[in-house]
Amino acid sequence: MTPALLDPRPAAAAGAPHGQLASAMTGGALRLSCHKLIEDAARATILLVPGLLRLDVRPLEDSLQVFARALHPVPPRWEIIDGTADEAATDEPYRLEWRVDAPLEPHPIRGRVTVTMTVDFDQGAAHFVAHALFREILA
Amino acid sequence: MRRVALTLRADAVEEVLDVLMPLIPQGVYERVLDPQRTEVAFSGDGLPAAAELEAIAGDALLGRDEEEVADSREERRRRAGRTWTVAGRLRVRSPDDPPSGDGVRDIVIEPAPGAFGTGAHPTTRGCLELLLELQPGGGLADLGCGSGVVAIAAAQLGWEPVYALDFDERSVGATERNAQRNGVAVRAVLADLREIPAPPAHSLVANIPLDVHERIAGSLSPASARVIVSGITASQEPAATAAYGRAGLALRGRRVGGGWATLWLERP
Repeated sequence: MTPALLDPRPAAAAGAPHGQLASAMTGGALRLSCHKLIEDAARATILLVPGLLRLDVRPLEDSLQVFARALHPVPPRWEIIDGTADEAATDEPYRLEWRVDAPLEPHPIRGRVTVTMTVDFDQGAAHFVAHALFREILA
Repeated sequence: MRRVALTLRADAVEEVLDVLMPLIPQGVYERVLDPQRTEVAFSGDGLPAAAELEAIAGDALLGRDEEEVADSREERRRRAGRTWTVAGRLRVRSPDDPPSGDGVRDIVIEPAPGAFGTGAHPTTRGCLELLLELQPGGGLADLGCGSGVVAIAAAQLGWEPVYALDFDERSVGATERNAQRNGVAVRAVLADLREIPAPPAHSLVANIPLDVHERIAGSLSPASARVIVSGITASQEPAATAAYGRAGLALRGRRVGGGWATLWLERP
């Protein structure tokens, strides 16, 4: 049975203003996808799991601020597992990938979140694409 | 276009944003007014009515301003402000932002496309924080100068002469303009540190990728006794420390933030 936090319907409804897609995967996993053009210095949401977490980003001229907001009394842990932050000269979009662990009862939830950012200095904006997959850890 | 600016209790901003963000999908502009107050501003069509915003903010609401503004990205960015305070002793701001007026050292940086160094990035802040800790004196070279903010801070603090190098023409131009704006002498030079060794200044500040650090460390002048190493991730710190260690420098201090590391190394 899918836990309430991984039900795609509330995630789709709450994420709709942000253009977020939410769907159920085999085994009860929740898959999310969202893309958004965000102006320099604006903080905007690019991922939302109601009752669990929200991910906001704020592009600046030479940096990116990330806000991982916990929406559950037991805050999920975010750990960067990959990214291109150490490859400043690359022509590829800036990319960050996290593992997210929510130590919930009776079963913890684990997720993987990937965000890519393409900046257009002249337009004063950045385009973000976020993907995420969350599933309950039963073992 | 309607623009709304809410002044909120700083400790309640996140709770207000939980409700506000779905209503403002294009995003909000946060500005710290002081340690107790934060401004959250947003603009667009179809914004929530005043009564709804007051209900959302509740007792966190300290003030609300509304006005009609031009539908312009530049205007929204300008109003968001570009002021960054470093270690409570130095403020980096754009010409559009007001001067500090509280005795904090002020550096004015004109935003320029492609010129890294607004004061927002953890690597720039790490360089400035460590620079503030050091005893100024002798020559300094800012390697990968971007906007020139580190070189300008060094000149203000008392290093002389100050050189600023970058492989990007836009950065060299931005550094020259910003140095002039701040009334300090900085010699900006177009140079690719993958091709030439670092200048033999007593102090170096290098906010550049690890592979360039390794090249610089491999050809470091004996006259360079102190290096602030930045532009590396925390996981790259051992490799950077080892490269400069082979050149005879030892770790004296460090700053870590946002996954980035900034190191202070000196000859014993």
